[in-house]
Amino acid sequence: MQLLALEAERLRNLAPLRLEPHPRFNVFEGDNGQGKTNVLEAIYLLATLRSFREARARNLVCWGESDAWVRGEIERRGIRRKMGVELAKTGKRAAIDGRVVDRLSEYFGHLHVVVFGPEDLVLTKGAPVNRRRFLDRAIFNLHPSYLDEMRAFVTALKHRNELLRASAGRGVDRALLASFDEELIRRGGRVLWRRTRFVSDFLPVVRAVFDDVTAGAHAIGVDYESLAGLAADADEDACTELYRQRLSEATPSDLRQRRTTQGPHTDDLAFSLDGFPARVHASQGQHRAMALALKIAELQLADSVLGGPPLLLLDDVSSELDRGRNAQLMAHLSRAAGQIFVTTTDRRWIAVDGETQVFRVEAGRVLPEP
Amino acid sequence: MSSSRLPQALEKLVSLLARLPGIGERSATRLAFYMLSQPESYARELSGALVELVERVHFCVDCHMVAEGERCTICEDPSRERTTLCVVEGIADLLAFERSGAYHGLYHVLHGVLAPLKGVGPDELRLANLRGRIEALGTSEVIVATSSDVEGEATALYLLRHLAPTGVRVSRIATGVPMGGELEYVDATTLSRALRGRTPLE
Ligand SMILES: Nc1ncnc2c1ncn2[C@@H]1O[C@H](COP(=O)(O)OP(=O)(O)OP(=O)(O)O)[C@@H](O)[C@H]1O
Ligand SMILES: [Mg+2]
Ligand SMILES: [Zn+2]
Repeated sequence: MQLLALEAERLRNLAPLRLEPHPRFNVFEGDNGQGKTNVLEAIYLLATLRSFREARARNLVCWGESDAWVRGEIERRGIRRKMGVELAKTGKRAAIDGRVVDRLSEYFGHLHVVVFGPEDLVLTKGAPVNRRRFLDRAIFNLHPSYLDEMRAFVTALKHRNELLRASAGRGVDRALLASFDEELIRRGGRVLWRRTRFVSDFLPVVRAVFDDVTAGAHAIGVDYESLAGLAADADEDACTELYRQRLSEATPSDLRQRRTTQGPHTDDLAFSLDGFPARVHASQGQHRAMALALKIAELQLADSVLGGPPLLLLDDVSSELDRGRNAQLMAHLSRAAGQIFVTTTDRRWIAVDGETQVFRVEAGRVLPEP
Repeated sequence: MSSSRLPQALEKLVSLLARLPGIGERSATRLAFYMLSQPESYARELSGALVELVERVHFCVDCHMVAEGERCTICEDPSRERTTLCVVEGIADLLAFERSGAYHGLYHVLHGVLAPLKGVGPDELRLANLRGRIEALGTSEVIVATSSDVEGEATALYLLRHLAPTGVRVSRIATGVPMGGELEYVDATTLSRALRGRTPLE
C-alpha cells in the first residue's frame, strides 16, 4: 500500500499542498507550530475521514474558510485509485475514482493508516474508553464491516438503556425489554467475538514488538478484560451465549441502576510491566514505549491480514524517547516494510539510512529538499 | 431572515410547511414564495387536493394501508390469499412487495418500528387489532418483513412474543436484504428471493 500523491487545500494552516511522497521514509522537519502534524492529519483524513486530534473533522478547515479538501492517489496490490474528501458546510463528501460514495462505509478498505503521536499516551495511561477506541479502530481497519456491527450494538444499547431509564416508577414492559435484550445479545456477541479474536492474534505480536523496541529489558503483559468467563478462543456462538447469561444475571440490578452494566461497552485492556499494573507502575517513557509497541503491532498484524502494511504516521515520536530506545525504534522501522511519515523538529533524530525524502515545513508550506 | 416583516398569511403557511419532515424554516420559506409566484390556480388545486386527501383517504381499518373506503383494495380483493399476513413497517414497504409481484397474501402495516429512544413503544404501532385479525382470518402464517436493523429486528422479536398466544406460525424474511438496508429501496428480485428464503422466527 502506497500513497503516490497528496494534495490539499484550505486544510488548517497549510498552503495549497502538493507532494509526491517517497515509497519508504518521509521526514517532515520544521519548528514548532509550522504545520508538520497538519500534513499527517491530511493523510489520516484521506484514509479515515476523521481527524486524530479533533472530535470533528470539520475543525480541520482553515479558519475563516468554509470548506477544505484532500485528494490522494494510492496504490494497493497493483491497483491505483484516486481518493478524495471534501469538508463542506453541509457535511463530508468522499469520492473514489471520481465517484462520490452514497454511504461513507463504501469508502473504506482501500487505504489504511496507523498513527502514533503524543496523544497516544492515553492508551496505557488513560481511561478504558481510550483502549476500547483503539481496539475498535484496529479491528475496523482489518474488517470494515465492524463499523456497522459496532454501531448496531451501540444503538441496541441505547434503546435498552432508555427502556431501563423510562422504567422508573411505571415498571418495564417485559416483552419489549426482552426483544431489545435479544438484539443487544446478538449484536454484542458479534462485537465480543471480534474483539476476542483480535486480541488473541494481537498479543503475541505486541510482546514481540515490545521486546524488540526495548531490547528485551522489560516484559509487557496485556489482558483482555471483558465478561467474566470469556475464553480466549471463544467462537461467536460462545460469546453470544455467555453474554446472554451475564445479561440475564445482571438484569435485576440493571433495572435498579437503570443502565446496562454488562457488555462490550465496559471492556478494557489491562497492561502490565514486568508483572505490575502499568497504569501506576510505568514511567512516562515506558508508557510511550508500550503505546508505540501497540501501534507497531497493530501495523504488523494488519500487514499479515491485509497483505501489505498500512501507512505509518509517526508524530513527534523521537523527541520523547531516550537515545537508546530511539535507536531501537529506528532500527526496527528500517527492518520493517511499508511507507512511513515522520514529523520532527530535528532530522538528526530520524536515523534511517537512505530511502528517505526530507520535506521542510515552514509556515504551512511544505517543500521537498533535494 | 426576520419573518415579522412578512404578511401574516405567508408566515402562517411557512410555519405549516416547516412541520413537514425534512423541511426546515428556510426551505419552507422558499416553497411558500414559489407558490406565491405560481398562477393562482395552482394554489387552489393544491389546497383542493389536500382537502380531498383528508376527506377521502383514510387508513384501512384492518391492515392500515391507505384506503378510500373503510377497507383498502387489497383487503377487499377476493383473489388474495387470506391465510398469510405480511407485517411491514410502512406503506412504502407494502408497495415494494406489490411491485415485486411475488406476494399474494394480505398485509398489516405497523406505521413504524419499536424505538424506545424515539419514544416509540408497542402502543405507538398499529398493533391493537393484529391478534384479532389473525383469529378472524384464521391466518396460518405471519411473515415479518421489518428491516434488518436493530429496530426492525427487535420489532420482529417483539411480534413473535406478542403473537405466541394465537399459535400462528411466525416467519421472518431472509436477509437477501442488505444489512441496515431500507426495504423500500431493495429491488424486486432480491425481495422475492428474500421472501422465498424466509425462516421461522425463534
Ligand atoms: N483550523 C485551522 N486553520 C488555520 N490554522 C490552524 C488551524 N488549526 C491549527 N492551525 C495552526 O496550525 C499550526 C499548528 O500546526 P501543527 O500542529 O501541524 O504544528 P507542528 O509543526 O506539528 O508543530 P509542533 O512541532 O509544535 O508539533 C498552528 O500555527 C495553528 O495556529
Ligand atoms: Mg506537531
Ligand atoms: Zn386493508
